[in-house]
Amino acid sequence: MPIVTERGFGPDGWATVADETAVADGGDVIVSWKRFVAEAATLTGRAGRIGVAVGPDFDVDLHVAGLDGVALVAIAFAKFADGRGFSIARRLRDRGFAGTIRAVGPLIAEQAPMAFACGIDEIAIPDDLAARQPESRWLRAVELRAAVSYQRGYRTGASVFDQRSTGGAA
Amino acid sequence: MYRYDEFDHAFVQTRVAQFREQVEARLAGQLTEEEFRPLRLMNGLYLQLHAYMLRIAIPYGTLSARQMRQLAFITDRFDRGSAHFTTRQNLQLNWPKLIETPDILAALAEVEMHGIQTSGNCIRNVTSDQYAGVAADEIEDPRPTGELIRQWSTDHPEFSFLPRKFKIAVTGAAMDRAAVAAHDIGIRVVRNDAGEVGYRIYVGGGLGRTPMLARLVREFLPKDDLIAYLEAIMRVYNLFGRRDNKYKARVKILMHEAGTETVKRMVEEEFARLPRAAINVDPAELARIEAYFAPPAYEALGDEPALLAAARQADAGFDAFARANVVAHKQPGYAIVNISLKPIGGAPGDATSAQMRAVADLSERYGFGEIRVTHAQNLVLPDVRQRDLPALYRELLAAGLGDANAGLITDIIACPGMDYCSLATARSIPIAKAIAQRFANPARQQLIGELGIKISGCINACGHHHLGGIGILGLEKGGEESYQITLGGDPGNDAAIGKLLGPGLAGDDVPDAIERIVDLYLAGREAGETFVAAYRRLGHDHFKGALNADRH
Repeated sequence: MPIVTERGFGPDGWATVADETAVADGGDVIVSWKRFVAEAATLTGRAGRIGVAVGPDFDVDLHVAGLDGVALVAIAFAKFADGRGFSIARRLRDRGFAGTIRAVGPLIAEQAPMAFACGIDEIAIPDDLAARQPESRWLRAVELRAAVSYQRGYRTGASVFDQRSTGGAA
Repeated sequence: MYRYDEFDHAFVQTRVAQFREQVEARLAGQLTEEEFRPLRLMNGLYLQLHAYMLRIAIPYGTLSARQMRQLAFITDRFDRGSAHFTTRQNLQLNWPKLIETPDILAALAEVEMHGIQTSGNCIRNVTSDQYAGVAADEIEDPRPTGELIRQWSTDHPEFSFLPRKFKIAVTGAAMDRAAVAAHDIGIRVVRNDAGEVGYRIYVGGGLGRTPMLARLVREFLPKDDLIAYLEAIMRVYNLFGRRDNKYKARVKILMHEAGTETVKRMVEEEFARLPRAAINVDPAELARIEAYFAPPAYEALGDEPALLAAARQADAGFDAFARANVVAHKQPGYAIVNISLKPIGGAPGDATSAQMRAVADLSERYGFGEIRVTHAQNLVLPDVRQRDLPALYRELLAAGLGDANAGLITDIIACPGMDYCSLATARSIPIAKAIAQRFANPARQQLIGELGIKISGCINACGHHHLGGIGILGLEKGGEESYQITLGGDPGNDAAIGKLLGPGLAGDDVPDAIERIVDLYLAGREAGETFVAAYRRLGHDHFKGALNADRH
């Protein structure tokens, strides 16, 4: 499962651990949100960073206080057409989550710059998708998006609205 | 009119380059059809019954003569010489080739146009009042707000994969000509008690199989907060709108199921929490856009009642045209002219490239080179000198555009229906033609007066049948087309959804039934009473008998 960032494809430095598997001490692991809630004391006390996997119905406002000690939130995208994860990421950033946000699922290259703009740092994509859509497509999508974007307050280059008011050149 | 600056140009040009690469990636198999679909839809490219269809955005319905000529060129070069204006102020080409669509988008970009977000589950082309900026009953021109929303919603990183399509309409006038109550978000420019101009925000309108009128969520929103407030609405919808059933995915269903008060509270909470200052656009930016919509250099003229009265007396055709198609302008000595795209026997909203060029020429000779597209699928010349009206009428007649039926019974709104659309369950255009032929007599049309017939060829209601004084919905029943008739729909200030009159009819029986409905109206109306007003007074049952002869 390659990890896509603004710099291209990279390896996954995190181990995703299934609920029924024991979490080893040391190393960076991602566990389900449910398990994290049940075992928070032990999980945050171990060596190595902890990440939580949340579903597309994760309610940020309900749970954001419980993310203390969490270094990564992995948001599941069931399919690329389901854009809830973009708003979850935005809410996490709005409400002050400063760790890594990962999108997990079959996003397409054109969505990478949108994900990054919403505060997502990396995208874990399935191997077959990576084989069909090479790294160059993802980098190209990021490059094209960097050219112009209108919205303010997103993690993009300067908004067109701001560039106009500061007299910035295109 | 708004003019692109270097940023707007850079955006559409980048988008054309990107779409060209996406088409190549699709042809090379890097993109599956499922993955390509949202990308082509975001550029306006649909796959229809017989071919692709390209939908071109005409933001808030305003076009320049130059843009209209380019549309005519595109229609000739890439289609079969005619194009179709839609109920959402878009233009549709019915026969483009996939491989040529990047070239079409490039030709559009040359004249500051695009097909971006005319399809797909994103924020669609923003629509508005076709008389914006020239209407006598206007608080403020809504188009600068429309343009701001167009830019803000363009390629939005958070709201491009919504549960379903999302439509926004803005009006600045006392009379709602933009059907804001039928939109996911309807915005009315209003003035509060303190005299400040702001926005009244409605959410949750929509037609389709579950028609609902939008509900008021914010009585008065300061102008500077518009973008942050829209983001709050969009975020609540994106997170909580249903995604399990596409027919229940519009924001109207969220409003209906969660309740207006709950959604309102969620929106207000989100609005209170999000970093408003970081999101809102500097008021100077709206002012910059507003400057483009400054009124043109009107001559100091007086109204010309004597001249017009004489011309009307001399020519019955012009008299009918002046009555139906000419509307009061805010500027003395000027008039707004509706150009009907509803010739008797024609397909509603269709225009040939020659007609498009003729309208472009006329807009320059009888105005300031500006044209409007209406949600009723007609065109408008917004700034005609009253004294030029008789000459303009003669030229429109010569171009086959002189029909004096704007707002009358033959000014029928119809979707493309089964003749083009892959979603359709019945034909729309032939029904529209048959009804128009039945009521072709100009004197009879004038006698009947203002009456909106709207036809949809399927439950998705692109023909806005729910909002027609007489609405017609084409369905398929046991392998045959069956047409349901609704009465009492109204897109305006007293917005209402039409009520079903009875069981479906065969297509051939529709004109007879419409005629009986009209006869019942004429028999029951009081002096000066429009169809919808009479319907409200007389009641639904007054019209029940109209269907009895043709049970299907």
